[in-house]
Amino acid sequence: MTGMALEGLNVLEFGEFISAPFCGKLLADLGADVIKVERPKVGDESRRYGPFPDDLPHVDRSGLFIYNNSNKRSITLDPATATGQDIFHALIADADILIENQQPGVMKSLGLTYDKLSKVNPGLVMTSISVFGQTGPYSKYKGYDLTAWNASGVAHRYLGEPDRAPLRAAWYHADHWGAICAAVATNIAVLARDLLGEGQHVDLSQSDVLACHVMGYQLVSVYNMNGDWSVRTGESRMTSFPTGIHECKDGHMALMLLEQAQWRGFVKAMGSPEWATNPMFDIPMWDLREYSEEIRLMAEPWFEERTKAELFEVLQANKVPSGPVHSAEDVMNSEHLEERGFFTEFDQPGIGRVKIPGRPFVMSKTPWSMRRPAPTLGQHNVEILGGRYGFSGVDLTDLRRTGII
Amino acid sequence: MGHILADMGAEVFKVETRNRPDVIRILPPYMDEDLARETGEQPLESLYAANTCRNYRGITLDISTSEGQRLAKELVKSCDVVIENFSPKIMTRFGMGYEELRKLRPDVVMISASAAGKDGPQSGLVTYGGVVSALAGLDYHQGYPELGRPQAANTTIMDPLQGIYCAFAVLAAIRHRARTGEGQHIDFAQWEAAATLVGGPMMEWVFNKRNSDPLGNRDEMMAPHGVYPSKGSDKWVSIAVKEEDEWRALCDAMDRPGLVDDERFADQYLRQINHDELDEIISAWTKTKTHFQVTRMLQKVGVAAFPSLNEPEVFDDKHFNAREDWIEVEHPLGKQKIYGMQWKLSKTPGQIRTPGTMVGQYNDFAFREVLGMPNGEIERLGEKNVFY
Repeated sequence: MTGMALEGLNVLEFGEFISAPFCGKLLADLGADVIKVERPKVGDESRRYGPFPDDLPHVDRSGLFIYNNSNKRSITLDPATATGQDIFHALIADADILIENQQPGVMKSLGLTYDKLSKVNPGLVMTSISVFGQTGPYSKYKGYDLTAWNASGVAHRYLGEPDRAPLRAAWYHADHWGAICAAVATNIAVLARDLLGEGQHVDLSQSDVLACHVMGYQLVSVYNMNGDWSVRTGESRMTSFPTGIHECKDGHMALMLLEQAQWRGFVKAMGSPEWATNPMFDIPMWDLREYSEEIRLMAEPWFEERTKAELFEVLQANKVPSGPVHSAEDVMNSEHLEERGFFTEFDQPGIGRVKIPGRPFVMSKTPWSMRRPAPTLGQHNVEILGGRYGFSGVDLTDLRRTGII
Repeated sequence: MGHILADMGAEVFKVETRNRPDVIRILPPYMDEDLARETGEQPLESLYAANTCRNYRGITLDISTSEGQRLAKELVKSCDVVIENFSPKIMTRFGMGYEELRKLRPDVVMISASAAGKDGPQSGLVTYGGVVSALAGLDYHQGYPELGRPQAANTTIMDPLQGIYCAFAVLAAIRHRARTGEGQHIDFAQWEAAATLVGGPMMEWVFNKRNSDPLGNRDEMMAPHGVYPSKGSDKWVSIAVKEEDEWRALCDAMDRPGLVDDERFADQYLRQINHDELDEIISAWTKTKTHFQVTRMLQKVGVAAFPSLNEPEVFDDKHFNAREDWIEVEHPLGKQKIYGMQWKLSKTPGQIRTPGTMVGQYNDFAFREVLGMPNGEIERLGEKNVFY
């Protein structure tokens, strides 16, 4: 048996930047047929973000767009026009899934609500990704990655110095949470379709998923039980130094110690200096927090005198959960990832040979693959609008002239 | 991963042993602290477990024993999916690798989640989620630009996301099986999954051999964009301005219409360059209002603003409660408030059918009902601590 896990699924993607496109990418990379509906002339705004090879902006050479939109086809369309609306409905009739991340009110003003679209196609699974969701007191609020992140409570509770503004995690992390959660919820709804015989509306709120999974988890129960709560504490985590990120000779190391045995391993890794072998430190890691400052003062120089590679080796040899803080360069140059076959190499039109991060996980029977690179703007207008829906070359020219596509 | 499937109706057995409890079981605080103090045992009913083990059937089996393995394999025969996150090779050592399990259930979908994958030079890596995100290139971009160093979070933010990413893999495999009858093995390396979430910076290296600096609370395009101090202690409001009309609306709301014509801020490019000065002006205004006042004023004129909510604000919030993100459940050890359904499906919403499973709570169900083991055998194995 060969083939791809999500082949046979027709997906319409009507969204921009990261949360909808990365969701579409997850589906497309596993074989779904994803058609991106982009704004005429300008397309997905990530086409403007870059980075661009040699810093020369070009609508078809934006790194962010190329990465997030692999394996998709692109048509341009303005569904705010009457003809555009008809074409959109025709696309919906042939789709299993619609993914959108429009700001509140936009889909309604375009007449593209689940109520209306499910009449066009009762089997449609419509996934709406937004910052606050489709219902609730904040559902009309405009939002972006930053506001979703802060609304969830995760920022204030878990990231940043206590005397500075709460900080964002990673890179547009709230948008990626939205994308991955939407992909899961969409797949569940598609599975449910077999049981129900019809589709449904998936309401994915970025602030919901972050709040539930990172603030829920434990904090909601603790707060409910005894009113206890806390705020970000800068460097220290739930356990003592050396948990945290530390400067070393050529960069930074990240460590996380949860178990007592790991502290003992850390002591050995440092060469068992006398101060560290004091039995007063051989206690559960969350109790060891009391001595975090003393430990930091004594152990910080040990980190500063060594390179990432040296520290990585000796810490791992002593079973201390640890790793260097890798830059993009470090990740792309990782021997381990290279041998694992993590990267994918392909030809990007207008650029040439490109090698980028590939499959997020390995499926033994239905492997991930780069079947086609990210599309140029409107690359498949002829193939889809012409080939599938019968618009002639003259029609397409008229549609373009009048701003429909 | 497991509870996401369980929330939507899947029957999920959580196989545990008191000999080596799951770390989330032993992170305080606990619901059974008093009980445990009496017996001198390690409390295992943590609040973590109360949340993440909902809808699960907890059973105890020591699968490092041959009897435990035998029973686990019996259960696999009636299971569609096997989830494991041991270090690579452990399951094979237990006689429960994919090849073995396939013999019992040819169409089984198995997912093995590990830090660095089942093979490769560093497959034996010792990590937790917080370290994985550093290895994968995420933490590099997490920091205040003015401090010039990566900032550690106070928890492993990525961990739950890894589980969700795993659920995506499992669902894709289930779909393939539904269409073809074919199962498969998923090798999920957290390092790799996380490394797919930093597209922009990766492409900056690929195209231009540069490592982008952390953005902090700023944006590559939008300006102004940041988290500003508001009235009160440790109160903040996030603001993100994208279009020119939003910029004008912000200036009006701040009662500074003249700013629109200020040559330092006349377009997005200039606002990016003069962001520090702009931040000072905005902060001076936000400090005079509460974070919700700023939010209401700005949202009214189409500007994306929202408070940086603290814990009580999140848990007491009318919006999150209206969306049933926090719900009360009846747990055997007492009423608990836990998080609800994280996404809202209009027709198959899912639900909390049973509260966080206690350790071994469903042994009877698994061994007596599902496997139909006779009492005598259950007693005999119980004496050998197979169900500990």
